[in-house]
Amino acid sequence: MNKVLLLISLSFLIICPLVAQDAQSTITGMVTGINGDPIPGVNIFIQNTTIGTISEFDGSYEINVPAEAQFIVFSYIGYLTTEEPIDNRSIINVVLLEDTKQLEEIVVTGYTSQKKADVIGSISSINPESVKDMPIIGIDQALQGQVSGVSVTQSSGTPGGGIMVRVRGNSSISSANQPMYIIDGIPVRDGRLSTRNFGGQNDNALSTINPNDIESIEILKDASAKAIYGSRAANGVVLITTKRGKKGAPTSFDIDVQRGIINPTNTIEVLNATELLALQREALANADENPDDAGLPGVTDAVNTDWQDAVMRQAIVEQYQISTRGGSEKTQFYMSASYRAEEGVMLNNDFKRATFTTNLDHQANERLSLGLNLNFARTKNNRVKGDNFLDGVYNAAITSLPYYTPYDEDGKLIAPGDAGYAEIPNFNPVGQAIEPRFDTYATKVLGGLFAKYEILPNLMLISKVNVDYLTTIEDQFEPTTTAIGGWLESVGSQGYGIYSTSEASTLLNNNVLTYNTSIGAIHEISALAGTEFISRTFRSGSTTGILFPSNEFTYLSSAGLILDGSSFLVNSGLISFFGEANYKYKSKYLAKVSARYDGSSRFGEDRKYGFFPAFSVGWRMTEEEFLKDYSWLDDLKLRVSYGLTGNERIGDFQYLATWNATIAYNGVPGTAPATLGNPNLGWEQNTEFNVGSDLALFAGRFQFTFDYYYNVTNNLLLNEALPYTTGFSSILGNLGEITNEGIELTITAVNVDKALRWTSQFNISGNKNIVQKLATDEPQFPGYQTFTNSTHIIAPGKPLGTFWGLKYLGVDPGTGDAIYYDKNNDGQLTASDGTFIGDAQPDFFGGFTNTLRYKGFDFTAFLQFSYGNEMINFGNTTLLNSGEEIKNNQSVKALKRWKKEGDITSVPKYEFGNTENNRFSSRFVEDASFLRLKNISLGYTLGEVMLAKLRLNGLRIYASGTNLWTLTNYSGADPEVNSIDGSSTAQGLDLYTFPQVKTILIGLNISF
Amino acid sequence: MNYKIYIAVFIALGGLFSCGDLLTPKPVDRILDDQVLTDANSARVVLTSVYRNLANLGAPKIIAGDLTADNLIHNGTFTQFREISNKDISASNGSASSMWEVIYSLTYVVNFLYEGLPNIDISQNDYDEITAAASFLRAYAYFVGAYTYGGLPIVKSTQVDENRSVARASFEETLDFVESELLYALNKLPAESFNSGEATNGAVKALLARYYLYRQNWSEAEKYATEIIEGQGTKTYTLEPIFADAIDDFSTESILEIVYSANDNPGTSTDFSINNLFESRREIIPSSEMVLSLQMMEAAGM
Repeated sequence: MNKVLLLISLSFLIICPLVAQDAQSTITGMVTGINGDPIPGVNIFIQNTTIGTISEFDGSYEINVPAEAQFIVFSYIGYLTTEEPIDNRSIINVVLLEDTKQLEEIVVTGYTSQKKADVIGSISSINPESVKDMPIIGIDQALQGQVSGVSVTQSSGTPGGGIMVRVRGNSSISSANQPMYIIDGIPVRDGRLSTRNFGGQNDNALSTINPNDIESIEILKDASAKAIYGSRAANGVVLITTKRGKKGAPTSFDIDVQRGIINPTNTIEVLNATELLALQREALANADENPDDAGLPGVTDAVNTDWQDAVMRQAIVEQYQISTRGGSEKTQFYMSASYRAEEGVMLNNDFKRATFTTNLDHQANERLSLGLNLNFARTKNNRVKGDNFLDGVYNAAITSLPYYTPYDEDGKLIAPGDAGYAEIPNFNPVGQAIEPRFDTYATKVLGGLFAKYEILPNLMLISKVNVDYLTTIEDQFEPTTTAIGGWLESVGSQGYGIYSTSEASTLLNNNVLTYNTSIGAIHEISALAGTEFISRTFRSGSTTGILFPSNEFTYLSSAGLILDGSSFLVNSGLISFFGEANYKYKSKYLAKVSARYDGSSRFGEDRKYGFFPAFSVGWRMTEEEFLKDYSWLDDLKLRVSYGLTGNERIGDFQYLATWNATIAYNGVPGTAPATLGNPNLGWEQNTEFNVGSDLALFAGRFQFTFDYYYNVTNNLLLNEALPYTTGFSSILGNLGEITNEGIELTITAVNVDKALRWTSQFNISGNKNIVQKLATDEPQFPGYQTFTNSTHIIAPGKPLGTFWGLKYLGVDPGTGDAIYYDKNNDGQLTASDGTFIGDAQPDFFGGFTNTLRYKGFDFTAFLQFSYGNEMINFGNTTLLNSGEEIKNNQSVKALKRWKKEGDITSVPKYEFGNTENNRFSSRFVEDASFLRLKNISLGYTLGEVMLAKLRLNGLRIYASGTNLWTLTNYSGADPEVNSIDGSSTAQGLDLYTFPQVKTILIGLNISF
Repeated sequence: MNYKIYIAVFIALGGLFSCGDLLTPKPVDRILDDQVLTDANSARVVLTSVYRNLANLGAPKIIAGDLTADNLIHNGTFTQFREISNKDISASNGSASSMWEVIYSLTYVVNFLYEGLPNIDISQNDYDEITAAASFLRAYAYFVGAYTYGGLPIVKSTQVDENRSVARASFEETLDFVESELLYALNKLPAESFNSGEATNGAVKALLARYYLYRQNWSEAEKYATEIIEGQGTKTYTLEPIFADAIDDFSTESILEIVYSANDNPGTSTDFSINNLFESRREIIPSSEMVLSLQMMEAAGM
C-alpha cells in the first residue's frame, strides 16, 4: 500500500496512520473594530496548533476547539493581535484595536519566518496591495520606489522589457548584479528570454510571473538576512510568497478587470524638412562645398514626415483575473487564471500573457502536512528592434530624414529597391516596425511539492522538491520589405528567417529541520539546519535561413539556404549545507548566527566549496526598565550584523583550460584554443556590515527604519589583460574590489486618523559606489566607442557608470568651433585629452506615497525620485552632430547653432565633414535627476449596505494613471532609461532608448 | 516507523542529485587542453586552427595595407576604420591591434603542435607534413607582421608566464626567423592539395621567392620563382587567358588562396569579416582611383 502511494505521489509523501482526534467543542463569535464595525478576513487560530479560520464578511466566525486548547488568537493586518483565553466559553466576541506598528506581523526570512519584532537583519517588505492599481507586468517592477536601498530602473518603455534591479548598489563588474528571486522557495530564472540581440533592449524572464498572485514580497538586504543563501546572496534576495487558501474560510471569488490606454511620455523634437534642408545647405557651404551638387532635394515643405508619429500609436492594455480561495480544516486552496494583453506604443509591438495558478495545502494528520504550488504561464511578445540598431524602429524614427515618406502616392509601403527608399542609415522605420515577425513565446512552469513532518512537538522536518521550467521559442522572419531581408545583399536580399528555442530548468530539493525551545520564560532558542541540491540545465538551438521564394513563405522549411545552425547544452549544480540559530533573552537581547556551505560547479577545482557565515545582535531597548515610563515609545530596536555572502554567477566552465570547435576552414572542422585555465577561480565575495534601528512612536502612528551599511566586494571576476604574445588576450581571475556604502531611511506615518485617514510612506537611500581595485592600474572602457576610447570608464577611486570623454568648454564666438579642455596641454586635441565627465550614480533616490481614505473613497499618489544622476544623451552625437554627416535629421536644438561671428551659443557651427566639433565630450552629458509622479489612483469601494443587496463581499472601482508627470532637466526622451539593458558598467546611456509610457486605466475588483 | 519511510525517501531523493555529477558537469562545446592532441587526425584538426588564423589574417592585412595606402577608402560609421583611412590612428584602435593578435594566436597553435606532437603516436611523414604546414603559415604571419610593424617578439612556447614578456627581435632577426621556417618547410609539403586553400610546396617556394625579392637577394628570388613557373616539385600553374577568370576562386594561376565560406559572413555583425565590411555595411570600399587604374591597366581588353 505504502509503496503504491509513494509511486503515485512520485515524491516523498509519507503515509502516516491517523491519530485519534481529541474531543472538540465549537466556539462562535463576532470580531469588530472599536467602532463596532465588523472586521472580515481576520485570522483566527487556536494557540499552539495549526487549527484556524477567518472571520466572515459580517465579522462572525466559527471554530472547532480541541479540549486542551487555552487561547484563541485573532490577528489581522493593521490591528493588534489579541489572545483570548477560552475559559470554557462557547461564544467569544472580540474587539480588535488598530495597530499600525505591526510588530507581530510575520516576516518570511528565507527557509523560515519570524515575528517582525524579532527580526535583527535588514529586511524590507512590500505589500503587493500598494501596487495593485498600477499596470505592472512583472514582480521586479513592483519593487520600484517602494523600499529603501533598492533601485529599480526600467531600461525602456517596451512592454515585457528588461528591468534593472540593484539592492544596495552594484557589487560586481563582470558578473550578474541582479538579486536572486525566490518564489515559494524556488529560485527562478531572471534576465533575458531571447537569445538574439535586439539592439540593447532585452525581454525579461520575470514577465512570465503574474504579480497578482503574490501575497507578500520580502527583500533581504544585509548579511544577517542573506547569508543563509550563501554563494548566491551577494546581490540581495527577493523572497516572494504567493497566495494560499485559509483554514476553514468560506470559498471566495475575486474578479479583477483593468483596461487602459497607453501613450508615450515624450517625443524628441526634431527639425522639419525646411529647417533641416536649410541646415544641411549651411553645413555644406561652411565646408566650401556647393550645396546644389549634394543631391539634396530643393527647399520644400511638400514632404514633411513626422516619423515618430508614424511609428507610434495609442495603445491599449487590458487584464482580467479570476481567483478563488478557501478551505476546510484539512485542505485549503488558492486558484487563479489571468490574461493580460498590452500593446506597445510602437506599431506591431505587443505582449500577451496567460497564467494559471493552483496552490494546495493539506493536513494529512496531526503530524504531517503536504502542499503544492503550481504556476503555469504562457507569454507571447511581438517585439521590434530598437536602440543601437541601424534598422531599429524608434531610433530610426527619430533620425530619419523628414523629406522621405513611409508610403508612396499609391499608399504602398516604400521598401528596399523602391525609388524613395532612403537606404543606410535611413531605412523606412514604419516598414521596420510592421513588416518583420519577431515573436517570442515563453512557457513557464513553476512547480513545488512540500511536506512538513512534526517529529517532536518542537522539531519539524520540511522537505521540498521544486522545479522552475522555462522554454522560449523565437519565431522570426524579415521579409524583402525590410533592411535585413531585402536590402542587405550579403544575406541574399530574399528574406531572412531565424527559429530559436531554449529550455532552462532548475530542479531543487531541500530538506530543513527546525527546532524551537524555551528555557523558562527567559531564554528562547530557535534553530534550523538543512541541505539543498540544485541542478540547472540550459539547452538551446537556433537555425537561420535565407533565400525565400517570396514573402509568403516565412518559415525555414521554405528557405533556399540554411545559413547557420547551432545547438547547445550547459549543466550546472549547487550542493549546499546551511544552518541558523536564533537566541532571545527576555525578549530584550537578540542574537543570530547563520551560515551556508556551498559547493558549485562553477568554481575551480581548488576552490570548489565556499563558506558564508553571518552574525547579528539586536537590542530591544523598549523592553528595558529605564524606558518603560515612556508610553509614547512603542518600540526601539538597535541591530548590528556582519557577514559574508557570495556571487556565484560567474559563468560556467570559466576555470577550465579548453579548446573549442571553430568555423570550418576549407570544409574541414577545426578546434581552437578557447580559454586559459585557472583552478583557483571562485565566487565574488561580499563582506557586509550593517547597523540599523527600528523605532515606533505614538501607538505605531510613526515608524522609522534606519540603516547604515558598508559592503566590500572583493575577488571580483576580471579579465587580466595579457600581452597578445601569449596567444590570448586575457585570463580570468578573482582580482577586483568594489565598495558600497550607504544609508537608508524609511518613514511610515498615519498623519490623520479620523473619518479621513491619511497615511504616508517615505523612503530615501543614498549609496556610494567606488571601484577600489582592478586587475591592474589600467582602467577598463565599457560602453560605446568614442574618440577618447569609450563612453564609460572603470577606474579605481571612481564609481561604476563613470563617464569618460573630452571636457567641452563651449563654442568659440569667433569661429563657431567647439573648444575642448586640452588636458595634457600639448596644443592638440587627441585621445589622451579624455577625462572624467560625470557619472550615472544618483546621490539619493527613493519614493513617497500618500494615501487618503474618506468613507468609500481612496486616493493614492506615488512619487518616485532620483537626484544627482547624470545621463549621456548619446543620441545627440547624431542628432546634434554639427554637420559631421548629413544623413540624419537633427534635434531642434540645432536651431541654436552658431551661424555668424559673434554668436554666443553652446551649439557649435554646422560644417559638413567636421568631426572635431562633434567629438564625444561633456556636451552630451546631462543632469538626469527627476521627480516623477509614478502613479496616481482614485478608487471607490461600495458601502456595505449596497454590497449586501448585491450579495457581494466587496466591490471597488478605480482609475489610475502612471508616469503622468515628470520634472527633469534632461532633454532626451526620458531620464529613466538605459540603452544597454541591465549593464552595470555602462549605466546612464541613452541612445534613442524608447521612453517610459504613460498609462491611464480604469479597474474593477469584485469579490463574492 | 513513519519517520523511517521519510528518511528512506529523503536518502533516495538525495541520490537523484548525485554529488559527483552535480559539481563536475562537462562542457559540450569545448574540450580540455590535454584532450586536444591524441593522434595524427587530431593534429590535423589542430592544424585547421592555424589555417583559421590565416583566414583571420586576411582582413587586418587588407586594412593595414590597402586602407592606409588609399587603395581603399572608409565609407561607413566605425571610428576604427576612419582613423586608419585618415592615418590618424589612436592607441585603442581595434583594427591596428587585430593583426598583432592574429599573428600570436596563430603562433600559439603552432607552438602547441610542436610541443604536443612528440608525445603522441604519429608517423614521420605525418609529423613532417603537419609541422611543415605549421611552420610555413607561421613564417607567412611573421613575414606580413614584420613588414607592417617592424621587428616582432619571436615566441616559441605555449607557456603563458614565459610569453608575457618576450623582447622584440630586430627586423633582421625576425626575417631570419621567417627564412629558417620557410627552409624547414621546403619540400616537405605535397605538390598539390585538394584545392589551393591549403599550403603546398608551391606555396612555400612562392613565399620564398617573394621573401628573397623583398630582401633583394635577386638570385634566390629568381631561382624559386623559376621553379614555380617550371613546376619543379610543384603543381603546374598557368596564366588564365581572360583576366576576369583569374579573380575567380581557385583559378589555374592560384598558388595559395584563403578559403572563406558563407559562415564567415555573419549578417550584420561588426567583426573583421571582409565580406561584411565590403558588401553588407560597405564600411570600406575601393577608392575611385583604384577602380579607374584597374580599369585602365588590367581590364583594357575586356
